[in-house]
Amino acid sequence: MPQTSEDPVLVSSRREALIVFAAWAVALSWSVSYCYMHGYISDPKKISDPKAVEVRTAADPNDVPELWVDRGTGLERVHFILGFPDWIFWGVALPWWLCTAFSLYFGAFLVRDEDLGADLEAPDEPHAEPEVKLNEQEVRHA
Amino acid sequence: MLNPLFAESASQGGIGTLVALALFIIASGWIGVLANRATREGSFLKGFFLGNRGLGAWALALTATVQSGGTFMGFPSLVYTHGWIVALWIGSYMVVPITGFGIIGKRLAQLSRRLGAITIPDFFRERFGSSTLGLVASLALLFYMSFMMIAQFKAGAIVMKLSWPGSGSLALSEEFSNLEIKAEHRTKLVKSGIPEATVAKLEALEGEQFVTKDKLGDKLKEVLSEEELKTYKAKIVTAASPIDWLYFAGLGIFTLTVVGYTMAGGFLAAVWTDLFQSVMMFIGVLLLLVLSLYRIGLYEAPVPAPTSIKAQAVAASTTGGAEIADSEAKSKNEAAKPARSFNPIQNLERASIQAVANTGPGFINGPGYDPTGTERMFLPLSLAISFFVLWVFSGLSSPAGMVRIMACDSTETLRRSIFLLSIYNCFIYIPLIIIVICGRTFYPNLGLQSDEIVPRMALEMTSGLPVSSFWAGLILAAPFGAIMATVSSYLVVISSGLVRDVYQRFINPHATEHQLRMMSYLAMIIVGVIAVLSNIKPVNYLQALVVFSSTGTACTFLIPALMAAYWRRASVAGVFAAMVTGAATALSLYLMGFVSQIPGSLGLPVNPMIGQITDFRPYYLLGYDPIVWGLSVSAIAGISVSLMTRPPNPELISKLFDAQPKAV
Repeated sequence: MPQTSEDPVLVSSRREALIVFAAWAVALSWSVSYCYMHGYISDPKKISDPKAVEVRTAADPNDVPELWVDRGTGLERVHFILGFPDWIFWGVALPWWLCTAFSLYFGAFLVRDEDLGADLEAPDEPHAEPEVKLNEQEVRHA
Repeated sequence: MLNPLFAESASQGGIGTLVALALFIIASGWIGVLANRATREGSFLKGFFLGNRGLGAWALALTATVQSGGTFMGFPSLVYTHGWIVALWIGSYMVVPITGFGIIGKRLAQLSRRLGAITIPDFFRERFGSSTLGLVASLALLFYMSFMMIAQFKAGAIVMKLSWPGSGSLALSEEFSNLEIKAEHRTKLVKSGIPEATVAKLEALEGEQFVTKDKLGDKLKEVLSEEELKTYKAKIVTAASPIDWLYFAGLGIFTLTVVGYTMAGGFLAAVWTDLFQSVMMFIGVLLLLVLSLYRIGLYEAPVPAPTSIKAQAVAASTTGGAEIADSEAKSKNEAAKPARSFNPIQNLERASIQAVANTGPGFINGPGYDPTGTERMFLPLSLAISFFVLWVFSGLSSPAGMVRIMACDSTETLRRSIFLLSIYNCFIYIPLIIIVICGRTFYPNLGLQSDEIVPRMALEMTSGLPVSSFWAGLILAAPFGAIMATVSSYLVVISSGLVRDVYQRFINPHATEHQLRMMSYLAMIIVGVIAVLSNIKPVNYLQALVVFSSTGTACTFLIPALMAAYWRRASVAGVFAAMVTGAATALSLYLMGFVSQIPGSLGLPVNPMIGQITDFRPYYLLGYDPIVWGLSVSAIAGISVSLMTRPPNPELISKLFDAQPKAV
């Protein structure tokens, strides 16, 4: 009995799927845990509490004022990176850009080009009506 | 409360918006004609429903994932309401380009060719050699797609209505309508038998507009006696509710346009229009991003001074949003005007600070701001995890997306699609968040009308530019196009399900190509008519219906599709079990959320107040979205039932999993 080998498209597709699953798991773990640890309010009473916000003038009045919020453990200063709250920058924006870079690398180097094979006709797919072809022939004759 | 600086200018669309939409409709019709020519080659079914498997990278990348009207309306509304946390809510889109095409794409494209499958039910039927499985897949598809379709028709009609000059408010909110009591209404009320003395009291309300029936009811309490209120309130409210002719006209034009071009060009018309709108959306978002960051620097925002912030009373109202109530605080704010800045990074920081000052710490922290002030958590940890699952896997298993992958022409197209979509997503979602954060400074309290934030920003930010109405129209055409493209692709999926999987399979197996063509047209017309009839009294919970439908589809099709693609041992019974249990789990959890007595009667805790603010919400078992439970149950059922039942036919498996000899 001849030894059969696995379809090459199946092999490469499975390998690529595993890489993608791993990337998704890493992205999920990093983003959710980082944001949860650094960006969440520990006391739900503070979510909509205007008294838990304080805006302080920066040393240079032309600078952006300082934002201080109480997330349940006293007032803390909110830091910004490139305009994003720092936890959004590290937890979402930067990972997003890194994922974009990884996606480009994945598309360029990790996905293998394969032959998808012939497009079989479905067993119950009807064919074009013969009268159309007859008409075309008539046109040619004319 | 609208910021006074912008009170006049951005209240409604102008002629430019209408012209842009008219051009868009003409362009869509033209695309339909082009697609019609392209589908004439080969067989009707493969051409009309699958574009002869000739989809290129641009068409695949920018159309096969979950971009719809929600991207421009529902999502920005959430950013406006809950703040920066929505970045985490949508964060899984960072991996959607690779998950959408890399997990199952190549294998799905290969198997559908090898099996000659044209539709999703075709794929399951041929892969497992079971007509029952095909029928179950068809019925599930028709069920979920119908919900999506009906919701999208309403959205399309509303955008059409808003584009009409003088249509009034831009509100897209479901509960919102302009109620007012004019002289002609009072005359009608007298004729209907209400005493003149009672009607005369309503003159005090002349010129006032009410955004909801409740608001009008509250006002009536002030002018009518208790007895009058009890007897005549319903009649008065009905008389004050306008017949929304513009909505009906919008619904009619939208339906004729979208059904018309989809009938002409089928699958390719849907895909090409989708591509067109995606490009428009890209241009629109980038234009709006630059303008917002620039103009927020020109706007002398009342950034609170150190001493003023605590004087602000932020009145969290049930209508959503907070407003500065204290006039003293306002005057202090005015005194604290910052220097004008053209630094986009500083401008974004200022916008965030202003928004937090007007709301609360939740706007810049998880779990997100709660406008109701009831400590409701928009995105607790369990839902943050759930949404990382939901967006990735609902996109992957969306029937419209799966069909497009089946239609791609080669693996090179899949690779290039990953490239294009990665760059596209990067420039859509984060920029939209930035635009809306800036928008919150311009419009501090849109409340129920938060859906309009992007249209409002489009109108406001382009004012003052040369041919400003054209630019505004260009940006506003994008959501309209997104809705049209979504409806169009669902029309194709539903009609292919009805014609290929029901009519041809069970009613007329020997149908000729002409008969199939006529039935496809008929199916599209019927679906269009049903959608219009369903929207005469518009459906509520638009966005929630879309999420429900996406969740249900993922729970029904994802695990079966993975089993079909990668697992030799997957049996018909196993896949059937995976489909049915996944769907049943999702549906049950939604039912438990809708009928609040069910969890209690089962001894389960009360549904936690988390997630989006809507009445149509699922039961969040242990705080997780139904997709997590649906997929888990589906996987367990699929694997265990497959292992317990007879292995599939080895010949069929070998044909699909082993290398095939090359044809000579």
